[in-house]
Amino acid sequence: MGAKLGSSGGPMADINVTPLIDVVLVLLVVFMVITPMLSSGQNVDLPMADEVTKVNDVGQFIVISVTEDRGWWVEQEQVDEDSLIPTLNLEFNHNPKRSILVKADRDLAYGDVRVVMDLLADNNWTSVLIAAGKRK
Amino acid sequence: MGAKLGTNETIADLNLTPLIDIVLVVLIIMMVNIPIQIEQMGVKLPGKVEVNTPPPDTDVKQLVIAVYPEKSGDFALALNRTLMSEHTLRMEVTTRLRNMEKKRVFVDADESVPFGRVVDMLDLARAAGADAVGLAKMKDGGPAPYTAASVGSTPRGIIVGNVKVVFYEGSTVATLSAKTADATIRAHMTELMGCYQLGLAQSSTLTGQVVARVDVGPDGQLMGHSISSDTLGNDAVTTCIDEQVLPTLAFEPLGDQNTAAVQFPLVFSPG
Repeated sequence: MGAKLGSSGGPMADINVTPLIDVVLVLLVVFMVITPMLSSGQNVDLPMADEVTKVNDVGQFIVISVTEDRGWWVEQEQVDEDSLIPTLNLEFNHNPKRSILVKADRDLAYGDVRVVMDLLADNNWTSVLIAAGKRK
Repeated sequence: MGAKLGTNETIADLNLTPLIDIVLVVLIIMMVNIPIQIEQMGVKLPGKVEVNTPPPDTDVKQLVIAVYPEKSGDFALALNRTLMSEHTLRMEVTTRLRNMEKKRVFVDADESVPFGRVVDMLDLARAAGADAVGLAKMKDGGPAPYTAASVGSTPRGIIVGNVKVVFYEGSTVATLSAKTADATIRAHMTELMGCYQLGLAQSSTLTGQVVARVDVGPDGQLMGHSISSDTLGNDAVTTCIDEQVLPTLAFEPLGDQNTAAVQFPLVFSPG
């Protein structure tokens, strides 16, 4: 790719393009992989609502997810009826300022989500936040 | 970039310039998209929800929205155990919340109702102006059963009785008669209902008759307004009518020093 002009003599440096492309493509792939991992909790179909306030998800919530198959998760850890509260307490002790966010799939029966909330309320977590998507 | 080997072959050179151009463009597009995606993934909340609030009494001024599953697969909605359509529910909740100082709404639902539907109700409550939304404690058989509201736009009614117009000075004027006065007060029915809701919020079986009186002057202006008689017994309602509805009534000029008194008997009944 070095063009030899008429008058210039001397060595000319050619940009070695192959590694350039390699690096660029790697960056591209890295971005494409990282993006889905940025949301917290599990992947659920959030219920849609109009009156929502947006909050930047910078780790100030303990996210409890109730997935479509009725599984319960505290952050990335799967829990069940017995381990929900102990796991929650552990997370809470790390940083007591966090509030609880419930991410539940919109197709779940109310009872399935309520059971989690009942458990929380019985243990004095009576004020929770519910995650929703903004209806367009 | 084609290396010439010993043999006499033509080797195709990959033209790299356009390749790099395309790759860099794609990279820039990704870099622009990602902040937008991150924005959209920010957590969205319909506000704090109080869970397991104690079951509200039906007498105290509280609003309970309940969702019931119907056999048809659709959902029935009720406000304070009165069945109504979603549209009516929205209007009722908005009107009542306007008159409440502590704007709290409770949402109750049967356990088989999809969660999305319950969030819709929470949404409705917030859109209607609720400050605090709570999820009522779930009962085994579902929310308390509803009763169908009477047919009509609102379940509670005001009946305008025989309007009386008495001319004190001057002769009777065609523009002010019982009929026109009746029409005038009916034009303010929404405000009257608002006043009635104030009383209903305190006692849901508020019944009685209020006779309101308005004095009209020659220019059609109000010379005075008062409540002549009251069997309702609720000061909030009568003050509301006296101070907020009566002064807004408009009449045609009577002309020529005529003055008249108009009496409106209003019967309030909880439908």
